[in-house]
Amino acid sequence: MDSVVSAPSVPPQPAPAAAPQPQPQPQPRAAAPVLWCQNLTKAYGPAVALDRFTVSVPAGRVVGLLGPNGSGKTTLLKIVAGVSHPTAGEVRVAGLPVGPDSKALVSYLPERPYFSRSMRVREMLAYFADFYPDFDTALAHEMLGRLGVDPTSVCASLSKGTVEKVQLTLVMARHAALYLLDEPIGGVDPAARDYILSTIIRAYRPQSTIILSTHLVRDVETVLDDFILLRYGQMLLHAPVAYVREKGTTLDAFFREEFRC
Amino acid sequence: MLGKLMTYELRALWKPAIIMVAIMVAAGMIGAGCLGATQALGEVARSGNGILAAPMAGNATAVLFMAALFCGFLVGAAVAAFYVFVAMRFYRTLFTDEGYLTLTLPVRAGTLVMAKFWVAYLLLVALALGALLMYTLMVLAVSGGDVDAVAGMLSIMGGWGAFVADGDVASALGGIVNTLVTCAYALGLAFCSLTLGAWWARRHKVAAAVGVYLAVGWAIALVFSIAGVLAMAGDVVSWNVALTVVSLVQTLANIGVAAGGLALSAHLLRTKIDLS
Repeated sequence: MDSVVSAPSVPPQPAPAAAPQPQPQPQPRAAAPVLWCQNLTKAYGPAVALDRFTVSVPAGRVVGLLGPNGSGKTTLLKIVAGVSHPTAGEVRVAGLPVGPDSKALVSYLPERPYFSRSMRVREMLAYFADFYPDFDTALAHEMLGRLGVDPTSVCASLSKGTVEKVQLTLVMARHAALYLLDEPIGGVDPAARDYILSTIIRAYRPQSTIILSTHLVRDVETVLDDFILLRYGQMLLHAPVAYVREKGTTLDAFFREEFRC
Repeated sequence: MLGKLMTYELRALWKPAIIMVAIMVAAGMIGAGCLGATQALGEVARSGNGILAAPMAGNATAVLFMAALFCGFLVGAAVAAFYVFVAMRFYRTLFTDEGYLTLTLPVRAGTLVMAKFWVAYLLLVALALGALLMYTLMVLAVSGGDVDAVAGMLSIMGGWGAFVADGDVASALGGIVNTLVTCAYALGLAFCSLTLGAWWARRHKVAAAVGVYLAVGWAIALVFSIAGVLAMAGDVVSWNVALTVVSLVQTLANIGVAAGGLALSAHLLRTKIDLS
């Protein structure tokens, strides 16, 4: 299957850093794609999780990273977030190689809880506010209020579902250039799923890009602009959702057809 | 960012540090009291007043001496327990699920490692110096307030007797300096071993890290032990100088292990470590 959205082969360059910036937060280069990968490969011994993955994602899109279990979705997001390292290939975030500057632009929600169990929710808010200049504490408090979470709660006392929602709150309360959400609606009940999706939509800003990995395609279909199909670490298709709709089908039906066992 | 990271490290570590200091001070004071009491009982036994006084004093002395030994062990164990806690926190915050929070911060890997090192080092040094103080109290108690005995004890840790007279103040200061270097060595080696274990091992990463730690630590200790034995060939004057040189080289090696371990740890974090 062809890739409908092609990736440039020349790596995007970051903004020149000759003059000192008054704002310490690294700024994405307007022209650079927010995510650019070229022949990105990740192997764990003989197993190849990502195989020469190439993609270019422009700013201002909500992109679904779709594929069955083991297709390389989490691996890709980990590499972009900087918690895993590629075996080969290149990756740039807003023209920047993965590092402290790119991490300042990326808001990453991993699929597992990362809270220290002894910390209180308000301490986590302070932690994010301390390290991320783009963190909106007022917005985070407002989101927690809607969720009914007491900021003085100790993380260990929260249920698994609430921890996931608090984590999502922290991630979405940042004004980041790129949001990486790894299975944000996996393993939660339908009501929580609705809350999570509405939180994502509400927090979305037009200049930001969201990459959302999931295999629950039906639930996210309405919020996506584009989708990337992955299988065995290779990209099958990167296209707008409209591309599927023009074929007279839904993304969910398209996904099921493509990955029929 | 280094300051912020250090603040969070300090918030996480000060409570266990205070607990260990409390245990250490209590054990040190009790130990010194027990040793002081053995001295007093020794006087009673030597005076020979009464038929039963001497054997009773002898038995009590043995009990008190054992209690003092246990207190001395507790003082050292408090330092060791804090060291283990620091190593566990290093591993937990970087290589388990908490790593997703730590490693996505917009800071350099070197800054992360150095923040953890400096806070752990300052607290460990405070504990180590506290332990030396407690041992000093115990030595003073058992020696009847002989300051030279304390200087002698401290100078053993430096081992630089050829440059400064054994048991002298300078020699004692050398012992304290060597203790500070040993703290840096121990932390650098632990951080590096944990990072190597997290990188190499697919499973049982902590066990792998302990293996690396013991292997490297023992190898270094063995090399300098052999060097020390070889240095003792020849006459008294020459072996004293040779031993001092070996001690100095070991001190420099410890500094090298600490710096190299931290640098390797930061490098692996930046380029190799994958969170599972």
